[in-house]
Amino acid sequence: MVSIARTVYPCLVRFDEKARENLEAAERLLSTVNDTDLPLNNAAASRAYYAAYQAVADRAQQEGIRFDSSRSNYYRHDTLAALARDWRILDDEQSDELVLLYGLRVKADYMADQVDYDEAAGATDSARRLVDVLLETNR
Amino acid sequence: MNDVREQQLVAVRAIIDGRPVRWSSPQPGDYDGRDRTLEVFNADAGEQRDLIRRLRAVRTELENAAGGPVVIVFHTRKESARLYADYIEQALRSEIARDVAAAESTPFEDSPPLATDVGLRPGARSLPRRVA
Repeated sequence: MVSIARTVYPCLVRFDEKARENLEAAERLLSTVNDTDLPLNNAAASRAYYAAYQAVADRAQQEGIRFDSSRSNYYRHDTLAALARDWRILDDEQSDELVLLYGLRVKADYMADQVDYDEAAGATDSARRLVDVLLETNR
Repeated sequence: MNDVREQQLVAVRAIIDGRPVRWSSPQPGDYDGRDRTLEVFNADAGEQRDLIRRLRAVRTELENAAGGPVVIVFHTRKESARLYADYIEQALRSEIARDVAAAESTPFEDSPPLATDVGLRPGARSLPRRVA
């Protein structure tokens, strides 16, 4: 268990709204309205990750957990899945989902690979599950 | 590459059915955890969730070896063949060489008997008969 200071940390960013917008963006990027549209798998995978990340960030902010990056005000992407498990925001399965989403986002944005449709669609489903569960509890 | 990191790759390979795996070499751009990125090859979308789940068994050891939570990137079979064929060929050759070396070092005396109902006497020249 990681020891953290649970003090209220005011943040103007509405992570919940951004999470929902990114989720919708991922879904739109995968949709093919007509035959000429192709799904944009890399972009969808990246947006799906951010939707999940922001949903976790929203919960962490609700619980008064400080940002942990020394560079700027954000939760580090490489440690959030593990920390959110320690904070009991995510269970083991959900933490694994976030690890998977982050790895896919890294591949989509930084590597030569092309994310395929199945990966992007799976990421969007996974992000939707996390957003629904995490933001539902805030209502 | 330090030994601890390399040893962890051996453990990871065993868990993920021998798929080629490596610590990522520097890439253009920067992201959180870049120096703790593990690349797993030949893993399609439908397999990745199960592989992540299996890696939980060595998560603590991986984190200790890497110096923090590990970023895991899966390369699909198609992209593994298209972009990383040279590495995969080399990794599989190394794996075969390790297997052969391990097989040659197995003492014959430790091998289990081929059958339990056939007795052989030292110096006997006739074919073994099934015990009545």
